[in-house]
Amino acid sequence: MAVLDLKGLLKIFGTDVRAVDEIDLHIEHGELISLLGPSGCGKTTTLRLVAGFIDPNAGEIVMDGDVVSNASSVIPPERRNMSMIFQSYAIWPHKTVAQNVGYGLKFRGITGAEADKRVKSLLSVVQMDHLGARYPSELSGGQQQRVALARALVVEPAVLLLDEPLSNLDANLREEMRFEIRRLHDEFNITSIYVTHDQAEAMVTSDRICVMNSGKIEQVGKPSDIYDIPATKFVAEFVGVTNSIPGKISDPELFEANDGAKFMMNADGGKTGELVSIRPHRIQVHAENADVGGVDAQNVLDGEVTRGYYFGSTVDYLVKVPGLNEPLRVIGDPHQFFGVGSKVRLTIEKAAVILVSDS
Amino acid sequence: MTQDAQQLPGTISGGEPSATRKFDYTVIVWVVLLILLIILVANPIFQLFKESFFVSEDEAGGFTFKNYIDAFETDEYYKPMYITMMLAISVGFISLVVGAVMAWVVSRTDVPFPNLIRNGILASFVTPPFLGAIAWIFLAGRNEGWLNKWIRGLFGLSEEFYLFDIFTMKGVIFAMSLYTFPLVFIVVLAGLNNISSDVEDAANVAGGGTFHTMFSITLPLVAPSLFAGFILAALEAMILFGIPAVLAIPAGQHTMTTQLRAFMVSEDDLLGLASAYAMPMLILAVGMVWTRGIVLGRRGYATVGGKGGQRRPQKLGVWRIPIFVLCLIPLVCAIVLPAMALLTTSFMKNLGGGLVWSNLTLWNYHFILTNDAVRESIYNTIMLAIMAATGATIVAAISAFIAQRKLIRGHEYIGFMATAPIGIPGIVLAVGLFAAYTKQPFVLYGTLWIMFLAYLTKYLPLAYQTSNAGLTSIHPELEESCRIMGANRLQVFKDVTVPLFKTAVIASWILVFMPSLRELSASVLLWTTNTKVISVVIVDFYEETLLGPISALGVLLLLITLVAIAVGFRLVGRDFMRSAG
Repeated sequence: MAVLDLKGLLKIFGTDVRAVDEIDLHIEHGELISLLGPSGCGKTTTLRLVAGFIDPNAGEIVMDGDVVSNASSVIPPERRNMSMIFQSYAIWPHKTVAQNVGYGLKFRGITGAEADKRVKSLLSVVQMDHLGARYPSELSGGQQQRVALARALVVEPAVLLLDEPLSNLDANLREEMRFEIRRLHDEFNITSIYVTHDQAEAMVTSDRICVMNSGKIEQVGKPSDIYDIPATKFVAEFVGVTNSIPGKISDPELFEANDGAKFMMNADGGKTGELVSIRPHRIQVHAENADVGGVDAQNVLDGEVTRGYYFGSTVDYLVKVPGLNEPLRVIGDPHQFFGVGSKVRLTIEKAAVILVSDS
Repeated sequence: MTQDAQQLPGTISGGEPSATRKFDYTVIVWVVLLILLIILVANPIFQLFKESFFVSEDEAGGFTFKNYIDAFETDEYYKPMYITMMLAISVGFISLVVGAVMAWVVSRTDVPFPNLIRNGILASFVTPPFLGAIAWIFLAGRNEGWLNKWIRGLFGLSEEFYLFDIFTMKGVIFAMSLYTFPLVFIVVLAGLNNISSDVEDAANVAGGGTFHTMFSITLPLVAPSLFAGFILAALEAMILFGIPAVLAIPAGQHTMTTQLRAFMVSEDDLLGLASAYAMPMLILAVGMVWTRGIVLGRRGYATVGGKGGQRRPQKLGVWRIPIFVLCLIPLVCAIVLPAMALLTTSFMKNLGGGLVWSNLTLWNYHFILTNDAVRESIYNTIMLAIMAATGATIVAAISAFIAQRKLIRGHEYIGFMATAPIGIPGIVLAVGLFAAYTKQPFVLYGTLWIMFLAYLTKYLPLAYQTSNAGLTSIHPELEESCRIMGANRLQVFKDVTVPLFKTAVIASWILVFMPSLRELSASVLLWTTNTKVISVVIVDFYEETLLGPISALGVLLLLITLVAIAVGFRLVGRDFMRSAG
């Protein structure tokens, strides 16, 4: 089992494309961490650096105290005791399911009956035990994905790397396989790095999420922290939907928007930022002049609905309020629907107003 | 390298000592490739060019334009050029119409048995054009042709009457078109199959009727394929040697290819004149291939895949059966009738004697199997085909592998080099090889090697395209996943790359082997007494009017080809004919 440390890792493509720009990341033993970000953010490059497929220009990768990659020397992928799940599944078409799964065992000195036993047991873990003799072309996408999982897990790797493993599956299957990957992680407890651009996938599967942008790490944290307390505008907007309001702190508990509106927030020792992020569903909608209680404990704004889309379980509003040029996006309760033009009163808890930096 | 010595806990011990040390093979690979390119293409073309500016040695010698002046100012030599152009354009248009219409019928209508039509057209590649032309003499000769006799019998007409005469320019155009329309068919079918029917449906929904849609949407979209198909067919008509040799020469006409051969076999040394004469053909052919490549957007070889998908076929209604029958006619003319004619003739004593018991014999087969010259030619043919197929496949597989895996610097030029001979007509190549390798220090003329070089050069592009396509279908992640599971580079190569690449390699071997069996246009200039091949013997026998033995040899050639195809199907599956276009 393994603890991984990425230290000052740098990868430059061509002459000046800093695909991975001096990142530091510590991954605990048995942890599943996601690298989340838009395409081109460097997440897949980071994963391939960890796998040993590409050499870093600077920095190092340390596994259980031993350097496995640095600028001068890279231990080849086959000697890292890692497994990887690829975007294309990469199931060998000329081998049966059982041969695919059992392939890695021979390099670990496991052959014969013991190898068969392990293959069988892993196939049953991924619910494929009846299909061992099939060829990959006879399998559905979801089944191929399960074979890839079994093949990666059967060798009991120190580290499991997953490169957008669900992006080729259709929506229903994708949802099912998210839970499956988390279930398998709980069962085998292998240190894992999961690359994805899908925030829901990252939320469901990960212990921690590492949000990347332009080769740099924006924020690392538990899924709830990433969502509730984003550190930067990029994280707030990439993970979920938010209202980003530019302005400045005028008082440790008061944020003044550039357009004039003022928001109370909880003091966060010394934190600085140029924006606040307010999630649409943390804003409550009330009727005009509704009695909403104390104004010292929460923000109260009056405004007018400029858009209201009914979604069944929610209503998606845009509400124009004085002191803000951009209307606020608000997710409301459908039992009380306000049409376009309605005057409404909005309340926002202090805890829902999060100061973020504009990096 | 310090970390390599450390033993990682949880990692696999053993294996190669270093991962980052790579030997740079760049120089070696490039030297080998350049030598090959020089031997196969650069030197022959250079010698061809050089010879065209020098008169033969017994005259004054030295640089001159005399060859070009002779070639283009003499009426006798100028006329074949005119005839060739006329043939190329006529054959191009006929092939375009027949091939495109049949492709549309197969791709877009509810015609019965579309796969029968498609596979039948692919199968017409099996008959070598010169054999087809000879078979059509049996069928449509003016006096003895079976079709003419049959019509005379049917209507009680006099012996003077004939409906068909294959020994005319019309006959030549007909015979050529039979073997060039499949080229158009394949390219246009691929073009049509690449157009999603959604595009056409969208036009229909927008209010365009069936014909409006066809002319405003479908036709412009397949226009590049149509143009490319026309070029392919016209080019083939221009560089064909067998059909004009069989049908046009008896009619007193030369084409450029037969005229070129006449120069080469002349008592006088006309190598300079021949070289000058070959130039326009070379330039035209290479130009046409390039144009086709540009028009098709770098897709050199069209593929006939099973991409059919969900299509809403046009309903042909009452025309369904008549159109099906019409589509069968070219197939019957290209395959069924010639094969029948050759088969029956091969068992007949006397061509005019008809199919009666007393006229049947095995003598023709006895003759070809006991005649030493014929037996040697069979041996030569098979040896050469095996050598060419093996040589082309090895060179192609290795260079495609190096190019795709970017193993050396400058890998992006390898594909260009391997496909450089594409478009050089076989007969022009043969003149070049003759010019290059009949004199010291490289005397290859008179050996099988010069023919081997000709075949290798001619079919290398085909082998390269096949290997390259095969490698493209191996996703790099298939190899990477093998790597991360614990296999080193060598094991990855053995366990994943080779098994997956094998199919393409076998396909490429068979795709070179088959046309090598019947290669004529280069062989006919390069053979000597000891190095005859079957196709050359057939042309020889034809000039001696030994039609029975020709038929027997033709049947034998078809049988060998069919065996090769059967082996191909067995080893690779039906897809291996894909890149035959």
